[in-house]
Amino acid sequence: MYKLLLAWRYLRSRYIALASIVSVTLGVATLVVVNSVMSGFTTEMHKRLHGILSDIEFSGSGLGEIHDVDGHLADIKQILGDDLECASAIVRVPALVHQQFHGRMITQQLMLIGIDAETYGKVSDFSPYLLAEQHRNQPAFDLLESGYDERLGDEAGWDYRRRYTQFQREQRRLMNEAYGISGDSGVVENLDESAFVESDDESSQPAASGVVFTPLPAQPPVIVSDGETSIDSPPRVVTSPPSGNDPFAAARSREQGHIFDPMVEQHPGIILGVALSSRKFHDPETNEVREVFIDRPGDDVQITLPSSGTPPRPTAGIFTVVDYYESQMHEYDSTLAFVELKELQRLRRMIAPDGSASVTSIQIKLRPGADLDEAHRKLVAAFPPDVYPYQIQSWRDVQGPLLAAVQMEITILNILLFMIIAVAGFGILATFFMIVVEKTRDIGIMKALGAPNGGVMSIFLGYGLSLGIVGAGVGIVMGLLFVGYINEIADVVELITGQEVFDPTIYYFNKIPTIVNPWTVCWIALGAMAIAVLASVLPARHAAKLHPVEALRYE
Amino acid sequence: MSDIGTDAKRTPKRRLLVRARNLRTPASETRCDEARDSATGPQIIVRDLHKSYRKARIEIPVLRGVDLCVEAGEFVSIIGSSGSGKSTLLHLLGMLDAPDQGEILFAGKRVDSLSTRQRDRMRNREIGLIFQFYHLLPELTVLENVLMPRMIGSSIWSYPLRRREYRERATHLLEKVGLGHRMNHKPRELSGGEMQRTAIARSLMVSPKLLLADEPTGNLDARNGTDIMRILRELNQTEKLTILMVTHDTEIAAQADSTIRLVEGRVHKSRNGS
Repeated sequence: MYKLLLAWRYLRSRYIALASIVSVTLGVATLVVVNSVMSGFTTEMHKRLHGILSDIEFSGSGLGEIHDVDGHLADIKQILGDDLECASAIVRVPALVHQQFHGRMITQQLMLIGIDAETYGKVSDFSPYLLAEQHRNQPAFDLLESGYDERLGDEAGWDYRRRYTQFQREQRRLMNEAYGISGDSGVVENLDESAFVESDDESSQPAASGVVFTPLPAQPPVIVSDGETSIDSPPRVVTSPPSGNDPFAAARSREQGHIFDPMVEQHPGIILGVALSSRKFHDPETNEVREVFIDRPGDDVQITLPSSGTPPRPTAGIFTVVDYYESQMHEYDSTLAFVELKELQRLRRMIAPDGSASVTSIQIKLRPGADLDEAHRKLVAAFPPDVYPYQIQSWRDVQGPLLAAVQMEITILNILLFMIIAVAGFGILATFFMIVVEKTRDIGIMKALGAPNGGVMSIFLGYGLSLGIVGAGVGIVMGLLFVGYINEIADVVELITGQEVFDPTIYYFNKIPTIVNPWTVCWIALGAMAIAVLASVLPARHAAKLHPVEALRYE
Repeated sequence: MSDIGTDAKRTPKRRLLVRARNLRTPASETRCDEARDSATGPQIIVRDLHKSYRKARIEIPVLRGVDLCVEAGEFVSIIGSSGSGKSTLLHLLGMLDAPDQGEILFAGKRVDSLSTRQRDRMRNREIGLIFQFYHLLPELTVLENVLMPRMIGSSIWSYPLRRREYRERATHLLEKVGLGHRMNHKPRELSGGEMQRTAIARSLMVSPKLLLADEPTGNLDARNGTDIMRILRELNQTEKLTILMVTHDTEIAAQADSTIRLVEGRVHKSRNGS
């Protein structure tokens, strides 16, 4: 009883000891914050990595193709049984995108993915990362009238496309006038696609297409008549007309009476990774992060990609940007672009004469709760790598090194921070020795009143424990408050120092993600208390061993 | 020393037989031995007690063979000059320390060879201690200080059960020593006399059979000293408490029933009290 009472009284009357546990408090608070932020980052990353990737990818190794997709899907379904929730076939091919920015061509490399918008959304998160709300609800490759992210302002959608086309036509007309070309009815299209020589394909497939791009302004613009289409007519999606190297294609297309009008028509839609189009930078004048878009939904871009077959030939197509994809994982946002599967198959000539098309990979989503490794093992067993040219990877395999690195980082950070608390433990040790010396006479008194050695020892152990509890408790409260207001704190620090604490251009997180794991907090608290108790063991033993007579004489 | 003048009467007291080792008077032992055998009550017999301290490898003998016998209900003062070993003797009697040689018997039972734990227990239950510097715990209130022996003596589970009873006793004791109005004060808010009275109340908390006082008036002025002595005498008379009091003040010592004088670690002479 007296042990508790005295430990409590010492706690309340010895502020120096409370000062000594400030380091424990700070250590605990730091641990809580670091763990919360790290687990926030990890979880967010896991979620994104996993969301973007399907559970298992069954691919034909790089550009290798999987023929007879339906047969493979049936096999996979049979192998996985109930574990299979959904599968989606995709074509993934490295490509180049050519964007026009202030009259110049920017060429960037990307990974072009042909998807079936309906099934792809089921195997992995796709639509939640689109900028237009309508596309988030119903992913499609159609340009929308409006309703894009507010970051894009009014400069997105059909309205923008019309205005831009109008502007280009006006420019062209002025130029023609200046050069004395009688182009009163001249049409200069969005990406000047009139400069492309469209040619027919050898194959009789009406759907298969390919566009050979001739860079502007190597040829004078082909001036075509304005046609009968009006702005008010509903937007039409046209696939590129049959192409090839037929020099008469353009003429024939005109004969067919179709003239592409960017005022009302769009090319096949493409959804670009946002970092392919957006540039974030610090404005040196205002010192704020500004975002600039190279192109906008409604602009046309040119894609060059290798065709199927050996050796691959470069093929090109024009696409209209219909949306952006922002997963906030820079790796993906800066490399991925999505088009419709059929369109890509057509462009790459992956469609066989009988109408069946090949793909480069099949994305598999497992039923929630299914054993990923087990499913993976089954698939590998059914398609042994020494027989089949297929690569079967779970999402963890794909991102394994990154996940392992992050885990390692967390572990090391935790060890280092616990070292800090251990250092604080030595502070407690020193303070406690001081207090024991100061209390020597009191210890003598208690022994004179019959307190056993163990009792005296437990006073100081209890004191250490209560200091640990106070230190850990305050630390946890501080840490949790810090975590709760971390973004506000970052803002304040930014305001004071003028240095950006959390740079969204680096992380692509607008806010610092945090997750407080109650177990982690528990372990941190227990660890801190254990260290405080351990630090008080030596002083407590010293106190217990004091000789009562000598202790009483101590002045 | 001022106490030398009071050595005139050297006749052994009726109820106390003290044998200095060098005098070797076998008759003095007889009475105590008889009393021990009858085991009628608390009684202290000390035989040939030796104690020395080591300081820097030199052994300094403090007690060199003390024999004394205190009967139940006696109020004995021990006087002697500084370094004569009177405090050491009190510490040995209070079991704060163990003798090098010799025996101490309480009510016929040897206590000098008890284990540390048993000695702690005995000190807690059966001996009250009062010190010159009061030795109150500064963090605790007067009431808590008085309750301390009970807190130490009972476990964390048993104490709360009898808390009310203990508090009543502590309050009663404090009122008895005239500190009923000071119960919730901290020791530093008290005067020396009040602190010593608190210490007395504390020593009585567990209703001990023996009270050991080490210079209880040494740090007090004459008036407070008289107060303390009055309380001690009262306890001796009303509660039949055996009191051993160490002092160097012969006037204070004279208020006891009998006085033992220690010189150089031996009982030199004894005389009747006032």
